[in-house]
Amino acid sequence: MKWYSAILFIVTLATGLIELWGGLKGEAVFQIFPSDVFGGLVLIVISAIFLRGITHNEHDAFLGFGSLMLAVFSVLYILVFFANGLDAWIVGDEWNPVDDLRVEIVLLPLAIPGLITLNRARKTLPP
Amino acid sequence: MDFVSELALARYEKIGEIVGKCVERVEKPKTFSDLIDTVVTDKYVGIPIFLALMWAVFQFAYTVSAPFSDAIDVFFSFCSDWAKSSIADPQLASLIGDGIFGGWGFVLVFLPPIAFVFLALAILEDTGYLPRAAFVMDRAMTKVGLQGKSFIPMLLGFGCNVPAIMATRTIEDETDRKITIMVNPLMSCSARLPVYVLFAGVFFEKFAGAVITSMYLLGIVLAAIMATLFRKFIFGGKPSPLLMELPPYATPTPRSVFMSAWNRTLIFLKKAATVLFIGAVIMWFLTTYPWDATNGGELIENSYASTIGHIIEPIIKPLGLDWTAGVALVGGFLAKEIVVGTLGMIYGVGEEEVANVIPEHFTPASALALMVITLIYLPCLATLGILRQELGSWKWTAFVIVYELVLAYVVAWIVYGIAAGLGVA
Repeated sequence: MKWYSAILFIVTLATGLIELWGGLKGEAVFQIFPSDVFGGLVLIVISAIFLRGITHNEHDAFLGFGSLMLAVFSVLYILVFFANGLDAWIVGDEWNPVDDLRVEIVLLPLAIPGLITLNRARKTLPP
Repeated sequence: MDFVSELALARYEKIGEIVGKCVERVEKPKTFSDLIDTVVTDKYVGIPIFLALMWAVFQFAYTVSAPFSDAIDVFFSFCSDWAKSSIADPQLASLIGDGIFGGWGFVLVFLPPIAFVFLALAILEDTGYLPRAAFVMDRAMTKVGLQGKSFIPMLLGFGCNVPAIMATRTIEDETDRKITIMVNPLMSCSARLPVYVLFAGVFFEKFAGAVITSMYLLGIVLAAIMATLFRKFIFGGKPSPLLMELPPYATPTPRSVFMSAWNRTLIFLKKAATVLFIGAVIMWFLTTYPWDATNGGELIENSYASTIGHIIEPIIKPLGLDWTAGVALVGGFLAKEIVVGTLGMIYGVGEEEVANVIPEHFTPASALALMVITLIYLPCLATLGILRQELGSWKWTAFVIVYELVLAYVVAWIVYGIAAGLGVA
């Protein structure tokens, strides 16, 4: 699965750099890549986990945990998406769902193989 | 090494000796916790993972909770408007509408972010991650007289100092906990941001981002300096060594997570809400009375709050600030969010138009001084209530107030002096 870690490393690093660049520029580079310095840095951290896993003996641990981090942030931004919609409804503002759609949400399916690996380890190893 | 560490090491040595004689060792099977610890305590990615997870806690607490805060705000605004339009006596209407409903609104909009912080922390705690986070951060924190477990409350302080101070309950050592509580208000909470954004935007257009970031960095540097000084000159000793068993990872159950978050949130509701509510009514009185002179709170320059502002003016004049800044800072004691709104009320403009008016009352140097004072001068009323509760002493609470006031004045004076010297004024 090292090849899969390498793919995830490239994807998360690229998306993180685009978000970071947009954040420093003050405007989003592409539609679903928000201008978010901290969001970009978080993706770069996740990419670093995958990179570290490629060269480490415990490769599966890094793939699994990196995927878990990716899933955590995907779910978080799904919650933010709905929270912003609810907030706009409460205060009576207009809300365009596309504005709150982030690349992290789209990346969620990529975390599934790593999560399966992690779950398998949880079931086979003692706690 | 101190006595406690020596004792602990000697105990573990003895235990090892006895165990070595009595127990036959077999190869320890690798556990799931070992596997995860390989990643979260890794020397390269351990700290970045921790910071990323804390960012997730922030986002969860302050963005996901926003609709609930807004719903509470809308509800109490409705109650306030209803009271003011339904009660015939204007003074009673103002008391119930602005004082009581307004006061409850102020208190309860803080409830969702606080509850969400506790919810997120309960999840991290129940999974077994928090002890690992303390372990990862211990070395950096020890250098400034604190310990690993102090880092989480310090980081939470960037959101709101109230849940941050309550989060110090995870620190067992009383001295470490006290120092963490006492320097926590120096972490720039989100309520101070509107002040930075307004003044930096007006006076430092192109460099606004750098000025705002420098305020956050100033808070961190001051917290590190004060923690070191408190440890060295007041409490003595060294940070307690971080000796703890790392529990195995577990899947948190919804029941235990919600119970843990609820119990901590209830403490905030019972204690801080009482203090903040009373404070809100006091501020209502100060900005509304004498009733006739202020025309029911419309002419704030005739109010008791204005009188206080004029009393403060000679003290803040060397920093380039006038009585209006004094009143805004008094209002900021209630909640830092209302500093900008108070300035708008005094200048007779809406919050959106304040930016056009403030250059008549401030220079870039005095704007910097006001930002520095807002960062340091006093914890807000809710934080003060929690400080008193968690320190368990009026003496230490008073000490925090005094040191922050003195520090705010000295740092603001230095910043104003340097800025004026460089020709920024």
